[in-house]
Amino acid sequence: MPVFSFGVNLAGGNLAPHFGAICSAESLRKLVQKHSVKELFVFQNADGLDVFAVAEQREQFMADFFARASKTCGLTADAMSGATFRHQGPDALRRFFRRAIGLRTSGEIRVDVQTFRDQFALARKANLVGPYFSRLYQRGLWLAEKTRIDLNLQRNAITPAFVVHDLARKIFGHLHDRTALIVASTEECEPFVRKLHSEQAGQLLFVECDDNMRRLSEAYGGRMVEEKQLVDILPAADLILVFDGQLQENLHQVKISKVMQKRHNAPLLWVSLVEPSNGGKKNSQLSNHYNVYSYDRGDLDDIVSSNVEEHQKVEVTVSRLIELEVNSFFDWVGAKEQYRFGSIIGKSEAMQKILELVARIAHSDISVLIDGESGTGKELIARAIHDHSARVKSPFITVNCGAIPETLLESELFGHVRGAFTGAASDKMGLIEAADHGTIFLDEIGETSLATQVKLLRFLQEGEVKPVGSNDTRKPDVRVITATNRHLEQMVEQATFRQDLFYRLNVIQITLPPLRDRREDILPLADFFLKKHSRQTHKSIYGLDEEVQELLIQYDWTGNVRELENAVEHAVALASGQYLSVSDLPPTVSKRSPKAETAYSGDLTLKELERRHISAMLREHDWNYDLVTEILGIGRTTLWRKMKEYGISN
Amino acid sequence: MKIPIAILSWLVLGLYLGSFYRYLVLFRDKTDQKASSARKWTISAVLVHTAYLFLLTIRNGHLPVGDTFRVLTTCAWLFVGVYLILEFRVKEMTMGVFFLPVIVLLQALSNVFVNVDKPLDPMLTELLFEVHVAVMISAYAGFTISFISSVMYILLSREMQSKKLGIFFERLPSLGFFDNLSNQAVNIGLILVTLGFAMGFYMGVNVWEGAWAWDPKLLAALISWFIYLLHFITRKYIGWQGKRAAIVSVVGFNWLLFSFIIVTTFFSTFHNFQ
Repeated sequence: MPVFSFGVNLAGGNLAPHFGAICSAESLRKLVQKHSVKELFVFQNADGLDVFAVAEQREQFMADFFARASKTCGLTADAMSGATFRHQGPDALRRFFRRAIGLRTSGEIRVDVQTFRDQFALARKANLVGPYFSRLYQRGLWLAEKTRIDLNLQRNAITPAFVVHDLARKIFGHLHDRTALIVASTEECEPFVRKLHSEQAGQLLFVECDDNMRRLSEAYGGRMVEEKQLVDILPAADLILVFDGQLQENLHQVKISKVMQKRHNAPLLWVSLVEPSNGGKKNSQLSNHYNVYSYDRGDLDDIVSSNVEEHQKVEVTVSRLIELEVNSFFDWVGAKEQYRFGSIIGKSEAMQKILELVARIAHSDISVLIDGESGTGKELIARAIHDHSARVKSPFITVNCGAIPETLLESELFGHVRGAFTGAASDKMGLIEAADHGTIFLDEIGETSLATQVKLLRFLQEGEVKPVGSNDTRKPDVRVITATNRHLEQMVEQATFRQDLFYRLNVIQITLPPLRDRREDILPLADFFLKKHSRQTHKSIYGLDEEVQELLIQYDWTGNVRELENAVEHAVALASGQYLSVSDLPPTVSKRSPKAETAYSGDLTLKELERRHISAMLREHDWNYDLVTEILGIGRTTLWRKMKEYGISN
Repeated sequence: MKIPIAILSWLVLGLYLGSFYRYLVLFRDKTDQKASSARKWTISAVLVHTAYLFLLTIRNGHLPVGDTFRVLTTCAWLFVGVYLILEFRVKEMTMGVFFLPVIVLLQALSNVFVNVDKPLDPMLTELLFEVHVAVMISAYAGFTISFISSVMYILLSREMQSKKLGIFFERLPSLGFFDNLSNQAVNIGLILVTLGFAMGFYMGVNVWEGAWAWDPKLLAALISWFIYLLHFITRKYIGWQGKRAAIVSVVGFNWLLFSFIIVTTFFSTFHNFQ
């Protein structure tokens, strides 16, 4: 899977307001379409952007992204790409998981899981993410929760700036209405100022020393204070960071108790970051006042080093966990079977869309109605929904409503009590109740009688089931998935299916296309069944020969996937060589010559021939109009007109 | 009905113990799952407790404030109710581990003294008296909350001033949070206590006719009222913020406890439930 990631790391610059413009859903969607990116997730935080994408062409996409971003931010493309990293494959996934759990790579970035959740929700809303990232996201959240509980990962600040921030937060709560005074003459205070600024500290005061400080002050929206005023301004500051040894001397002359009196003894955090070699002496006044929290460089270093030690231990464990996740993800993707979802195979666009939908709805308890011809794999889809939901550990129960006699169906579904009817010798729990906390899959729902439909509707609306012959109701927690191969809409019109129940069931409809409409899935499916059955029969068969491949693709699979599986099973049973040949296939399949399917012979009018040809082409190319117009050598409007004329539609 | 009441009283105690244990585990692990479990335990304890008080009320025909065991259990119920409201409002669950022991203690004491059918002085079933007791209990709930958040303030503050950051730094919310909470709780408690005193005074004039002026229990209560008034004034006008205010609150609460125990054991007082 061609997954990659890159980032725009804009340390120092204040670009937060631009992110919205770069990452607006619309502009991203344009990019995605232009470069045929399969999935895209842009994760933004105060320090920069992380872009994760699944796409074939990476360089062009990146170049375009940078071009757009730099245009929006008014920076040169060079300046932006200069501060980036690029990863692909496993490295990109590692990066993704590190982001998900908020692990700080440089010690400077700390993201909480909530931000990650929110951003992913946005991407999902904008339709930019699909099954890959949905799975990665779920795993990422799981990992974040695990690391949070087991390892206390979020706990440790590992740079002095972060420690100072943590201390301030522990004293004041949030910093919105707090004033920080930065007493410095060099730029070494920058990381501290940046952190305070990104946490939206109320006011930043800088002592006027030189141009550097003035520039910093401007960059972070601070205010300059003249050196003479320093002492007067002290009571107003809740958080004092001292970097300058000389100015510290002046500050030490100040009577702290006076200062504290002026601020009504409100708590004060005083951090001295002056190097001890640079004349940094302890101010004993500070530790004597009950509401002053004073830390010097040595204290901070101690905290940092003990945190780093802890952090490194944790980091080793986390890396191991991430490695496991990355491997399991690639296992899931599978080198050859990228287009699998659980046990479902489908690389056609139609199936991809369905699988994407499945990934999205699995976690809600929404009702799903699956329709499609017989043998298209409705039960597999239902099972996939169950397997990807939180109910996976609870039962998945399939009920084939068509196979159970109507008289028994109700008691099967809802249960019965002893003596409810002749032969009801004891109490029996219904299947719906047996599926408590899990999923019940009602196949061939169109075969149920109106009476049963009423009871089903009651269950769906009230969540209650009432066993036959019993007076008390129960409320099992069950997700309902239904399937049918009949046209329920028509049945509703003919009043053989209740309309209200139909609407209840049909919140999400998944229509499985017949196999003949997604011919690109035939070979992967055949390959899958070949492996399955050759394993079962202990034969070593490596594949299908070309003639068989051709035949399978051309064949009109009225029995859909089930028929295909039977055909392959039949062929495997008969096969004598290492490749399946035409003679191994069942006669129904092998007898039909490839020509028969698209035969243009017979007494046809030109119009009829044209109609057949156009519809065959459309079907063959999966309704890709651009491709078909190219093949037929006509314009798009002509094609559209002819389709309308002949009544061809998807 | 006597037996169900007795069973309920011990069930309530058991549930509070259980939720204390849940809060303890929550403090150790701090996960969402455990948070909801702790809250479920507390809520079910409160529900059972409500049923218990309801049965008591029905049986005696008056609110359960007439004697020591009733007051103690009502106290526990009110405290836990106030605590739950607080927990929902500030969305901070680490306090539970400090709060639940108080509840457990109150309920356990109540269960020791339990005596369902002791006849009461008719004066003690008057509405004004019942309101007086209820108001006083609510005020004490405020003081208890102030005490607990002050204790946490002191623990956290001490840890931060020692510069060795440990579990309190990691688990507890900010000092500002505790300071604010403690102050608000004291303010509300002060208002309620003043109200309760006024009611008590009115009743006392009618019932005891002046012979009660220097009753030890009233004196003790008056002193605690002064301590909390001091808390209010020093904070507001002298600027005793943070740690000092916390210490005053802790002193006030300790005085409440000790004076209650000492006065009830060593002095005879008019102001009792006989």
